[in-house]
Amino acid sequence: MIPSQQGMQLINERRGEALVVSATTALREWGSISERRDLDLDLSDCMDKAPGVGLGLAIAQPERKVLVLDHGSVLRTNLGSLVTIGNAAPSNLVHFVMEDEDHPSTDGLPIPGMDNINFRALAQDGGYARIYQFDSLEDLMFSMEEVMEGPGPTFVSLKVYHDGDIPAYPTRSMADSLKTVRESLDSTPY
Amino acid sequence: MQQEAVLHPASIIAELKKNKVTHVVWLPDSETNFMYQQLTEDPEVDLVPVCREGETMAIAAGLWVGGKRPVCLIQNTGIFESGDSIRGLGLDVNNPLVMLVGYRGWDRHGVARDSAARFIEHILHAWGITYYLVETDDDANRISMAMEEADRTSKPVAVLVGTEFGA
Repeated sequence: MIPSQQGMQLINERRGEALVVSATTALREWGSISERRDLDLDLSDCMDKAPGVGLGLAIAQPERKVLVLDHGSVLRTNLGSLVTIGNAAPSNLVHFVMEDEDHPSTDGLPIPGMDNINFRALAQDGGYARIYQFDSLEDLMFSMEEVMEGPGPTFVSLKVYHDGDIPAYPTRSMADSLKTVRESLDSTPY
Repeated sequence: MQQEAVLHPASIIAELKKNKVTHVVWLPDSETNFMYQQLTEDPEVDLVPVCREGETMAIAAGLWVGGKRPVCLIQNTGIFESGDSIRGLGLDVNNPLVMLVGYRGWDRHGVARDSAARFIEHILHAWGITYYLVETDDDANRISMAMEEADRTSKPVAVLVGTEFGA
């Protein structure tokens, strides 16, 4: 299993000028790790819609990489988004999905059906171009260049655990994060 | 002889192009499929199909942040399904999103027996979302009014399309 925050650190080191949409536990961790908050969209609300927001960004900014930092608990409630993304087929989209067993999004309560969902299979059948799963930090580290550089849409399942307290949600609002990214893109067209 | 009052897809598409709309994010269905053929053949406006209506606002939000000018095209039943997305990714983030909404059950001259028609305007009122009714080609310029209002207020605005479409 991958220590979640170390997995996020790896993504941060590789993100370059990528736009990042994150939600739920991934947002809480990413908000304390990212060094380019001007390019981050914080989905502190409507969390199951991170794939959709990422898809819209990827279509609008085809020359720029777009990363979605998603979580299995919320992707489970919006499985159709895998088909929508597969059909749209944006080559610049990388969809990371954190899968953990301690269910921090429900304070540890079991989530019905979670253990039965094979997100990779759904993404594959939905039309994603490349599918990965990692359960070791070392494997993720060695594969990150391939994951980030290859043609997408790319689906990446990360089997993670949380060592220590999960940071609080960022203090800025979702609206502020969208406004910030809009302004960043206006001022620095890619 | 009284001239038949109809709404042609071309009238709506002309309004979208006049307002420099770049993308139509839509759920394919029988009520809103009227523009599919013409939009797929039009190089100026791209279609983004979804699996469920609540996705449209999310994708539109991403397009908008990325510098594009999308609209959503769904049925009124889809507005009910999309409540949380309209709240969170429309109203709360000041997204100037125009939503073209097929007004299933609309009947200007009779009793609306379809609850989708009976409830839709009340729902929009509850959210404080302004709406414009488009029934014929003569009404199509209300799309421009909706676009202007969305831009001016930085809020979602609905266009209720209450008609059967001409070819």
